[in-house]
Amino acid sequence: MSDLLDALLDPRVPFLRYAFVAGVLSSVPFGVIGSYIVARRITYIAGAIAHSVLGGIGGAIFLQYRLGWDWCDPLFGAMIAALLSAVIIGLTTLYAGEREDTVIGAVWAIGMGIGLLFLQWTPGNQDPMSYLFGNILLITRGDLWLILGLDAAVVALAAFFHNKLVAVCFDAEFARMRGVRAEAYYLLLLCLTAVTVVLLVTVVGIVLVIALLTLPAATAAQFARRMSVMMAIAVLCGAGVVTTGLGVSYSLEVLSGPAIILLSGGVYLAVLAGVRVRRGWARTRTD
Amino acid sequence: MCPRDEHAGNRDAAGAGDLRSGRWRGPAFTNVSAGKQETGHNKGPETGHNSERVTGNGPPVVCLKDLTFAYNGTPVVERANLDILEGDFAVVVGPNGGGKTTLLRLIAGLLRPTRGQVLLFGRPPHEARARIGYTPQHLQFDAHFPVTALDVVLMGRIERRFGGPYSRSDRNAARRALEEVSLSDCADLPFASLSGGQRQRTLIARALACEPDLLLLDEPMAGIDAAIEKRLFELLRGLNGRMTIIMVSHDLSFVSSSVGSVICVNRTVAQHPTGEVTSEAIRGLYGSDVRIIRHDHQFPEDQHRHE
Repeated sequence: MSDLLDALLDPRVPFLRYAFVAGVLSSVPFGVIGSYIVARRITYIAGAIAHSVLGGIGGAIFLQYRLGWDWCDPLFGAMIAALLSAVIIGLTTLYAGEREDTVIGAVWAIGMGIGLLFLQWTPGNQDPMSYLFGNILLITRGDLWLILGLDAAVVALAAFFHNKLVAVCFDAEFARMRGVRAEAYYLLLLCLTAVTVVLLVTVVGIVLVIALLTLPAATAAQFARRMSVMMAIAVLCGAGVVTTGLGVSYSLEVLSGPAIILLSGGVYLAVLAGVRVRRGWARTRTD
Repeated sequence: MCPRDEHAGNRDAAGAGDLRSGRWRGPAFTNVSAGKQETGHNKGPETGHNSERVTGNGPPVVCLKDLTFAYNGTPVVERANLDILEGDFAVVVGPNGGGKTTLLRLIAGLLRPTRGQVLLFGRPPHEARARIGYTPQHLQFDAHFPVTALDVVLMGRIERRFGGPYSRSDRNAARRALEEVSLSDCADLPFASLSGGQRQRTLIARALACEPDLLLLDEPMAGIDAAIEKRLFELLRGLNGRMTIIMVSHDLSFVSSSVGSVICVNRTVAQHPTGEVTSEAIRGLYGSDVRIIRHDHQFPEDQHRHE
């Protein structure tokens, strides 16, 4: 453990510090948006958005190479793809009356397909693995500022519209009757999810996004009676597993993404089991 | 507002006579089921037992004009003409799939009419929605959603602020509404942990937090046992003193003398005063209603299953 502390304070290895800061910073939108996603049961929409991000990343890298657009950062491409997917899924399910799961599956697979093709057309060793499974240790100081900015935007919007989002998630029809534009708030929630997913991709990669978005929130749901409490617990839980996971990753020299995910999965299952055992015990005592 | 009001009275008397003599399959009802909606069947409650509650000033609370709603080309509600006056307690009855909930959702402005018009307080539903409290069935909610009873009630104030937290006056109104449905002790309990009756009362409190003049309820008694149902009905009768109530119900056992009017919906819509109607008579109406529809070859049999 002291090795880890030394490394964190060592000016020669800034990447580990950046990784920790990025992990803690992004835990806030993960917990907040993750709670909405778990409560509204739209985990698979988040999954589809996450996987479609590969299309944006691939497209951006391709454009950088072919057209020399240096400003076309993979993160920029990822953001465009995520927002586009969120709007497509939202509009088709809200207005076109399409089956939600069909649209989700289509966006999921098409996004991946586009991304893999673009990566194939870009010469050089474009390994999709680092996008699929993430590498938080590649985060730079510039990325930190970007993450901080996106963080602030997501949290500010979610906090300001908290009551409206909760009301729309709980009973969209009633909200609509009160004159609230429920569809607009649902789309806002999906767009906030998209931005959060892009942040997550830098931390744990595309494939593992769903886990980090939902496991801390699902853990929190075991204790929380209200959305705000659920969010607070989810943020703390997320920050805990991300930092601990990074520590484990550094100490044991394993990949950071899987270390974080396995840890959050373990915490979730342990809490679930603990709550069940305690309930069962309480029942046998009252019987 | 609705010109056909003027001659509603005398036809009404004839209808009541039919009821008393027990001739339920008289011409009035057959016409209704055959879809030939005539103005005379739309009787305001002014001829009913509760005429002393009706002020008669201003437009009717609800006015349906030749209202038709079709889903995928199949008419669900057809040419409904109806006035509900201030202070009425109207119960919407009819067989499953007959269009009760559709009618309520049309009145609430949640569905757009295919033809015809809904006027609430003389205005289109979306302009009148500040005065409507709507209570859906409690069974449709996610049992794991993390909200407390007070959070749910506060949603009745959701449109009053663009963003940020609820105001103190919103919180006070929500607490008053919970007190009114005798749920003050449950304010901070999770909605999911409440019983069916408590959830239904929470949803009624949410509608009361809107400070409505018209309360719409969709099967509030569904999934609630008989003892609780009675208390819930007493609560609604109390509320009826200061607001008009329209309630969809599949169960007619309590209709009898306690409500202002009965609206029978089976694709077509007919309104009856309940002053003279016994519960047995309404059961008879309900039964003959279904029989008539079963002979109506425009509809597939399975859409008219009777509980």
